[in-house]
Amino acid sequence: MGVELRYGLRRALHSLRAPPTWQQRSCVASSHRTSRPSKAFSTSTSHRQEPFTAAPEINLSAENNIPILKRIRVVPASPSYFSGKPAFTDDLLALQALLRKYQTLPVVETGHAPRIAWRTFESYKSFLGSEPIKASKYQRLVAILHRLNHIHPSLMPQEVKDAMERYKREINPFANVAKPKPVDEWGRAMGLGRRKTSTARAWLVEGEGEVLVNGGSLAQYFGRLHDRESAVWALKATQRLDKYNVFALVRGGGVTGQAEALTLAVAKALLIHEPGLKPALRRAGCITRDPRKVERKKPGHLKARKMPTWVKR
Amino acid sequence: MIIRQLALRQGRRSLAPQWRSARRWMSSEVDSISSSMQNSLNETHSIESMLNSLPGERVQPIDDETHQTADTENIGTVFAEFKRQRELQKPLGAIVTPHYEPHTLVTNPPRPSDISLELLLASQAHMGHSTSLWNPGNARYIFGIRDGIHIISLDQTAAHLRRAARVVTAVAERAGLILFVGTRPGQDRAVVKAAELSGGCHLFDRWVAGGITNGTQILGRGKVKVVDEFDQEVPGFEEQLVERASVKPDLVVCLNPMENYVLLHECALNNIPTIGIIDTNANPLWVTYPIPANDDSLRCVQVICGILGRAGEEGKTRRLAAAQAGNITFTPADGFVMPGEEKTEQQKLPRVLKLGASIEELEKQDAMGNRPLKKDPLPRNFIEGEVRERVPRFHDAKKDL
Amino acid sequence: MGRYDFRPQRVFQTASQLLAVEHSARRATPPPWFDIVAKTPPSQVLIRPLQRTQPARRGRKPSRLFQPMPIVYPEDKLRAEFFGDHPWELARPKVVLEGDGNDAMHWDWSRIQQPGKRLDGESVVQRQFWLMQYQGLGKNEAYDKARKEFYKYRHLEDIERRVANEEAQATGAYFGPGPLEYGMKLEDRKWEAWKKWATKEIEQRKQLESAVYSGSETDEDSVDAPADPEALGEEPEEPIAAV
Repeated sequence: MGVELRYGLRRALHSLRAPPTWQQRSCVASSHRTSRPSKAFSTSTSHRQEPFTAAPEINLSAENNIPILKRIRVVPASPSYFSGKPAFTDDLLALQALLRKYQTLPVVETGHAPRIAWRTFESYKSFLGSEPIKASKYQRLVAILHRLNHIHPSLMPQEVKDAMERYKREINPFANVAKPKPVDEWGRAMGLGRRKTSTARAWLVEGEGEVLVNGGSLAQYFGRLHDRESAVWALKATQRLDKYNVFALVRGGGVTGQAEALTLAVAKALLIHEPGLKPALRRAGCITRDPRKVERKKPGHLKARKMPTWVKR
Repeated sequence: MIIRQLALRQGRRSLAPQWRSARRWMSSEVDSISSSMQNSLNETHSIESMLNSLPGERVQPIDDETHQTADTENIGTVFAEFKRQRELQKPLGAIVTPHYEPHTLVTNPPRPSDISLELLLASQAHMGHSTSLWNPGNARYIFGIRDGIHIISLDQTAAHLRRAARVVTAVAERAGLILFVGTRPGQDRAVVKAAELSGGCHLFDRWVAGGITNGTQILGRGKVKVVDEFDQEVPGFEEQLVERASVKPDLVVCLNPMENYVLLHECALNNIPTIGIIDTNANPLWVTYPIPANDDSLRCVQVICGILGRAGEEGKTRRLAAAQAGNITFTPADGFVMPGEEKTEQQKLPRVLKLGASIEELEKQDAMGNRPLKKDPLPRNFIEGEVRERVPRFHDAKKDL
Repeated sequence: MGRYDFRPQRVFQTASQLLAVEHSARRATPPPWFDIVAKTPPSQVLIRPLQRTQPARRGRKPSRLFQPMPIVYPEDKLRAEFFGDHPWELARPKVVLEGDGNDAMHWDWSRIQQPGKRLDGESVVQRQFWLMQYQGLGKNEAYDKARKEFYKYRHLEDIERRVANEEAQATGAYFGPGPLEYGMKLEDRKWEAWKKWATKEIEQRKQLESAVYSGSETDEDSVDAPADPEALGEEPEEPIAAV
C-alpha cells in the first residue's frame, strides 16, 4: 500500500516536472510546413504519430539568458571526419583548390623548377599523427605540389609559397652542394683518398708524367707492378699519364691499401683540373670510395666469423 | 593548321609572283587539291628552313641556379598583357544562348526551386539500365523501354527530389549532421561543395566499414568540437569530449548506393535515414528516400547533389537566422556539465537504449543508479497510453497528408 | 531479417518505439529528423503498377502485366527507313549533349536547316515528319522532298569545306596527313615488317629442306654455337710500362 502511494506520488511529480517543451513544441514545425505532399507519396503504413519533436523552441529575447549548456552541440572539427583520415583529406582538398585557382599561370619547362625535397611519406604521416594513409595517396598530394612548384617563379603567388612550405622537409638536401675546390696559385690541385686504413694526399700539376710517392719514384715505392698501375690508374684510364706530375704523401696501411688510396686521391685531383672527365673516371672505377674494411673479431669466434671446431663432449 | 609568323608569311607572299596567286583564286576544281597541298607542303618546308636559319633561340635558356630566364621579369608583363587582351576580346563574337557549362553545376549548383523536367532531361536523369538488369522493385519509377534500356519517369524523379530536398532542409535547420557520399570517380567536387553549402560532411574516397557501428575504433581519432548556435567553437569542453562516443550522421545522402551497401546497412542498423539515387538496377529498399535517376551520368549526379546541397544551405540559413533572433532550433547536446563541475549520478548513466530494450532493463539501470526500486513495473502499453494522453497531438499524419 | 529489409523505410517507427521506452525513463531526445520524417514519410516501395491489359484469351493466362511497355514514336519508322537507305550517315559524329533540355523546341522544321544544329539524318526525319503533318504530303512524297533538300545542302556544305580548304592553303596553312595517308603509312610499315620476316622464314625453310635431302650437316650448329671465344674473353693485358 505504501509502495503504491509512493509510486503514484512520483508519477504525479514527474508529470509536473515534464519539460515545458511538450506544450510548445510544434510552433516551429508548423510554421515551416511548406506544402502538402502529393497523393503519390501516401504511405503504405499509416503512421501513429508520436508526441515527440526534434526542435524544442526556446525563445528568449536576449541570447545571454540562454545558458550555454542549452545551446551547444557536438560536431566534427573537419567536414572530412567520416573519411577516417580528415587531416589528409583536408590537405588534399586545399591543394586541389589552390591548383584550380592558379592553373592558368605560366609554368617553367619540365625539370627546370627549383628542386625541392618534399616530406617523405613517413615524415608526413607522423606530421599528421597516425592517420591510416597509404603511400599512393600521398603520391597524389606530391604530384599536386610538383605541379604547383612549376608555376613560373616570377609569378608565384605568396599563397602558393606558404602552402608549399608546409610540405617541405626541414632540411633541403639539394641546397647542400659541395664547395668547389680550386687549383691553387702554383697550379696544384689536391685530392684526398682513402682505402682500408691508408690515407693518400696527391697534388697534381701539369707536367711530363713524373710521379713522387713519399719522396721516392713509383717504382721505388711500390714493388708490385699491379700496385704501380693502380696508383696512377686514374691518369692511365684517361690517357693523361704524360700530362701531369704527381706528388703524393701516403700514410698508414699496407701496400695495396696505399696504392688504391692513391687511385682515389689522384682521380679527385684530376677532377679539379678537368671536371668533364667525371663520367670516364666513374666508368674506370676511380671515383667510388671502397668502403670495405677489416671486419672486427667477435667474442666466441676465432676470427671475425670463424667458430671454434665443435667437439662432442 | 599551324600558322607561322605573320611577318614571314606576308613577306613570302609579297615576294611571290602575282600570277600564281591569281591562278589560285580562280581555281576551284577538285583534282587540284592534292597538287596544291603538295605545293603548300613544299612552301612550308622552305619556311621551316628559313626559320631554322634565323638567328636567335626560340626557347629561353633557364639558369638552373636562379631559375630565371633572360626575360624573367618580362614574363609578368607579358602575362598581364595576355590577361588584358583576353578581357578585351571576351565580349567579341556571338553570344550563345544559355548552354551547358559543366563547371557551373559545381560552382553554382541549382536550387530546389530550379527543379524542372527540362533540367532533369538535359542532365540525362531518365536513362536507366538495360532491361535485363532491372530491379522489379523500381517498376513504379519506370516510364517505359526505349532501345533496350529502361527510361525513368522524370515526374517521379522531380517529385522524389523535391521531397528529399525538403527533408534535407529540415534536418539542416535542426542542426542535424548531413553526410554526403559519392565514391565514384568525378563525384568528389560535387560532394565537397554540397557539404560546404549545407555545413555537413563529405565522403568521396571510400566508406570505412564500421564507421557508424564501430565508430569509436574507426573514427575515434577524428577531432570533434563543441559549437554554439552560431557555429562558433566553444572552448572548455575538451575533457568531456574525450570520453564521448564518435559522432554519427543524422542524415546520409548517397549518390551511388550500388557501391555503398555497407554504409547504407550500417545506417539501417543505427536507424539513420538515408537518401539515395536509385537507378533501375538498384534496390530501392536500401534507402529511406529513393530518388529514381541515372547514377552513371556525372551531370545528373551533380545536379541532384547540388540541389540537395542548396537545400541544406537553405536550412542552415534559417537556423542561423533563428539564432540571430534568439531562437534555438535544435536540441542541445546532453550529458555536458559546465567546465569545472562534477557530473551528477543521473548523468553518468548510459543514455541510449537499444531497440527492444524492455522496461525491466530500465529498472536494472535505475537500480544501478541507486534509485528506489519499483516493485510494480508498468506494462509498456500503459506507458504509451499515458504519454499519448498527456501530450496534445500536433502532428497528426492523417491531417497532414 | 528475411528477404526484404524494411528498416530504412521504418526509421520513424523504430525511433518512436525507442523514444517511448526512453521517455518512461525521462531520457527522450528525439533525433533532428524526427518530425520532418513524420511529416514527409518515405514513399511507397515495391509497388507494381499495372502496365497493360490483355484481352482474355481462352486457355491462356495474361502475362507480362507488370512489365514496362516499349516507348514508340511515329518518327521511328521514318528514321529506320532513312538510315536503312543511308547507312553511312550513322558513321558521322553526332552531338548528344543537351543544352537546357528544350533544344528540340527551338527548331522550326518548316525548313531543313536549323541554326545551332548540324544537318544530319535526324534533320531529314524531322523535316519529313513536319511535311507529312503540316503540308499533308504522303510518306514517300515527303521523304523525297526532304531527302532532296538534304542532298542539296550537303552538297553545298562540301563545296564550302573545299573552298575553305583552298583558302586556308592559299594563306599559308598546311595540313598533316589525312586519315587515308595515315592508314596507308601504317599499312606500309606492317607490310615491310612482314616482308622482312617472310624472307627470313623462307631462307630457314630452304636450309632445312636442303639439309633433309642431302643428309649432310647444316650450318645450324655454327649459328647456335656460342660466339667466338676470343671476342668474349677479356683483352690481353697490356705490358705495363715502368714509370
